[in-house]
Amino acid sequence: MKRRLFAMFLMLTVVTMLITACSGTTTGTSTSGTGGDAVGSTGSNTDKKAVKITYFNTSAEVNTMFENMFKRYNEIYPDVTIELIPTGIGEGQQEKLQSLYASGNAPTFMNVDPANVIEYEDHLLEFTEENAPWLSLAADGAVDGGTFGGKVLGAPWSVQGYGLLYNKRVVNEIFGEGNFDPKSINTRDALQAFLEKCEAAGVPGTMLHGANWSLGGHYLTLVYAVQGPKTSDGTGFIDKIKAGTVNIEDNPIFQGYMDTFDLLAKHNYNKADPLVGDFNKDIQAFGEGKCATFFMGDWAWTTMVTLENVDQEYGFIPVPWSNNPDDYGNTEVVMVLPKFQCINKSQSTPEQQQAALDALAWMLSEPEGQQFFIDAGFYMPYKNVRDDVVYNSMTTSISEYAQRGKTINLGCFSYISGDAWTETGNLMLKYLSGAINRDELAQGINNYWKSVK
Amino acid sequence: MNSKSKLLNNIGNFVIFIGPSLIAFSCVLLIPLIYGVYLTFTNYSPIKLTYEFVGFSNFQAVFTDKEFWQQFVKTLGYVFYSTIFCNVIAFLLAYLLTSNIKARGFLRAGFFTPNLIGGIVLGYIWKFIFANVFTKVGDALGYQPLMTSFLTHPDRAIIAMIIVTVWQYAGYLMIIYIAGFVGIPQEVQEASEIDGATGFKKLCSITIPLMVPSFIICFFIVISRGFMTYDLNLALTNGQPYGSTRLAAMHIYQKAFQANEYGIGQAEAIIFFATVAIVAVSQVLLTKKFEVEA
Amino acid sequence: MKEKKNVFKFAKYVLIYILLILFMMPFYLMVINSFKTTQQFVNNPFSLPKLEKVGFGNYISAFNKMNFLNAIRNSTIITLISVLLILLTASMAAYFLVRHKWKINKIIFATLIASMIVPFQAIMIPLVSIYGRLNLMNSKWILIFMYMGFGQGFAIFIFHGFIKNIPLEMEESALIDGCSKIQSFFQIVFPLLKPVLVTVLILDVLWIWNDYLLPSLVLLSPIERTLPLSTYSFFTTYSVDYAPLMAGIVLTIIPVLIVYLFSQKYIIEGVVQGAIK
Repeated sequence: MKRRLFAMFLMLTVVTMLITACSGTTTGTSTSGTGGDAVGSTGSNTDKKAVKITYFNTSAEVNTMFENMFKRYNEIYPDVTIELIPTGIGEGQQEKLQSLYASGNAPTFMNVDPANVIEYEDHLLEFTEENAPWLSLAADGAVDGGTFGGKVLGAPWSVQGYGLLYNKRVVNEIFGEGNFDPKSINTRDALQAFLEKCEAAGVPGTMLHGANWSLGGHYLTLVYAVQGPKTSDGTGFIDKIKAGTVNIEDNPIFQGYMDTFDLLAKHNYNKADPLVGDFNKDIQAFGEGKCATFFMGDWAWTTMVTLENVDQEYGFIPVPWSNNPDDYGNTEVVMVLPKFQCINKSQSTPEQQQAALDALAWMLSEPEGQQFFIDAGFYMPYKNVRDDVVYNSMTTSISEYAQRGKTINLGCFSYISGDAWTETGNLMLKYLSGAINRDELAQGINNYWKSVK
Repeated sequence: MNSKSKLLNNIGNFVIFIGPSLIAFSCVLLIPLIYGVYLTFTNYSPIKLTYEFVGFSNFQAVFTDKEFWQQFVKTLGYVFYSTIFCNVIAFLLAYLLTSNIKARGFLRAGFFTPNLIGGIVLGYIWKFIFANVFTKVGDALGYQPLMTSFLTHPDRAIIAMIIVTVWQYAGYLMIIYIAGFVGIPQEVQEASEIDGATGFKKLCSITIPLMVPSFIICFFIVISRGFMTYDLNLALTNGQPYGSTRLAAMHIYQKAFQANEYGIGQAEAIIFFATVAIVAVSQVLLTKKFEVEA
Repeated sequence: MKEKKNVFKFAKYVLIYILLILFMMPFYLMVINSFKTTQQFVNNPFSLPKLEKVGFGNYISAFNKMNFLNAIRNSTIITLISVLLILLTASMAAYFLVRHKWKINKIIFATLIASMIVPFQAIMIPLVSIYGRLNLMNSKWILIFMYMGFGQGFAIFIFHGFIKNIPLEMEESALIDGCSKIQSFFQIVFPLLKPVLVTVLILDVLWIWNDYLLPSLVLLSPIERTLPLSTYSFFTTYSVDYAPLMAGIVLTIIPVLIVYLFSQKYIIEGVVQGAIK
């Protein structure tokens, strides 16, 4: 009996000791601590010290692309290992990033929204001519979206666009082959005539995706961005709302876009149940030609390409807000740099920062690195990108508008951070479903901005 | 044994029996919680480089957060209905599955399967069912209320959450009730039958009183899990339509991490926890009085 | 009279099987759709899969994408050890709390119950910042220790209720015979707790096996990932790639299902034992 007791006690002690002893001794772990060590993981040479860095990616749909990219990079530079920290479900990204910072394991470099660049600016390394000469290869204006307080904190890597996507086959069937000219949609009346013609042919004219990021993040931002061609026009307008000196309902651009919104809602394929917001379903319906247009961006292609038996040719038309064809915004589509690459300086060693800089140089300005992005369908704003790429029809349409200089500058988008999309988007959803009227919508938007610091 | 060695013996037993539990529990729960409470008195945020003491200002801000209180009330309603329906169904299932029925093992396994699937995936599957399956049934039957998704109307979305919660936990609670049924000593059951008690009467005077521990546990599980619901909320409704189903835990997460008001979110979490703790602990201590020691 | 009984019985069976179908429906949907493509799933979730088309494709891609063997190894180690530790420590603790009605025990018990309601968000950041600073992250042993701590409240709560049902006389006779408390516990009380032990075992296995948030915060490198963490690649920012996800989830569930089916037997054995007692 005593032996049994002793045995149990021994086991308990051993187990407890095992737990405490085995903690924190796993190999190749976190990169935490200032002035910490560069942990080696691959067979290191005696002269060059091996470095491991981590990368946090918020573009969840291309986790695999980054994985492959880093594997290839490690083949070329065996003493640099890049570990991807993928994120899955969209909402969990902010928490994950914040908890990484809180635990001292901030990712060495990351791909995030410009709003995050602002949030984390105290932690980020500034890109200068010395440490990032390759940034001069970026297209004009591309770096502005990642520049805050005069410092370049984010490196651009992709360009996207949104507006009213249209299905070429469906539109050709309704209007007759070759009869439809996207440039003809330059006023709300023109849009209305277009939509009504589709309805008459038995096809819903358009589709709105019932998600707060689409209606609040994309549609509503048009109101701010079209205030003027400079980023400061948009942010200045928002600042006035925040200060209470301007009410959004007094702004004719707001009223104009809302009138157009009502028009779109009237011809919405999802009219019967507009708030469902199932992305897979909507893309599929659009690809199968169930409606003529879709308020969405060219990232829709990455989903479209996985489907079978869907149309392949698409283009963009603008979202007009008034009946004056010369107004800024009526003949343009949005071109935006939605994500930026940035490097952490607060929780990484100089060696790790340099490794990250080198990696970014390879990814963004070396042909082999760029090829990964191109294969995934991204349009990179760098002057040295090979010019023989055939992009998908959606992205090609956006670049056509860009070549004609017909794009809306969405720079103010970078400054809309925190829960702005969710909150104002929710208001738009309420408006779409008829739960509130336009005055209440405007009040809600005013109140939201006034409550934000 | 004199009292001194008895005391030593008691302390020794205390350390052996509860020691490991308490150590793990304190290191992992208590200490972070205390640290968390401390942080609510500062303007700490994971993003900022430094922080300072700000006293009660976070708590003051909580009282002006109208939405927090609205969602709190909604969460109360959700928890209340979920608890009732969940326990009734689970008890019924356990009762049926401990009586003489063929394929008992198979049935118990079947009812338990919902639990095998984790919260997030469960939510996505049910989201799909509400948006597509229910609507197809509605179209086929021509039944108007079913033709639009449950999830696009604020009131029906909460009902959807209750349905999924009940579905998820009924099997879980069923196991506990089964263990409870099984734990009723055979002699007591036989004795009551000899005395002439059958069916319903036996249920009321013998079975239910001896099952009180199971009731306490099951009620507590649904209440506490219900208040903390986040995974399911996120996957099923994500607060939609337009933020109306953002239950308390989700509201707190959003406040802390998305609105970047970490201090206020943390303060709300503390207040929330304190309130729910009082409710739940009183429920347990009160109902424990009904417990009968065999 | 006999007819009435038969009608009752029939109604009982009908009710049970209707409920069963309702309960297993989502599970059934998940399995059949794991053999289709996401597009087919979106179009008609109820259609039976055309095996020639997709077949086990989803399973193969899920297996590879999830680094399945590595993930299942991690999940198994973490779950098994955590649960065994919880069962051992919590049953002992609950026993002590029941048998000694001291004031401090009452306080401890109330704290444990209250701990079950702590919203994880309230301690998430403090937890990772403490352990991060101590450089104790990214280790499955730390994760096991955390599960041991988090699992105390619930397990002790359940054991407490059931130990109360065990008559004191059984232990008293053993103590008179000269057994120490520990011997009395392991030789008399512990065996009687079998049904509850199995119950808590199943519930805790499910919790830890399927847990996503805590491992995602603590385990940072790819090699340490558990099964739920490995399904990340099927979720994108805007949508979910349902079909391979379903396959991945089915793969994740099978081990636990087997555990459950086996432990079913022990619950039934517990019934038999109880009858003999």
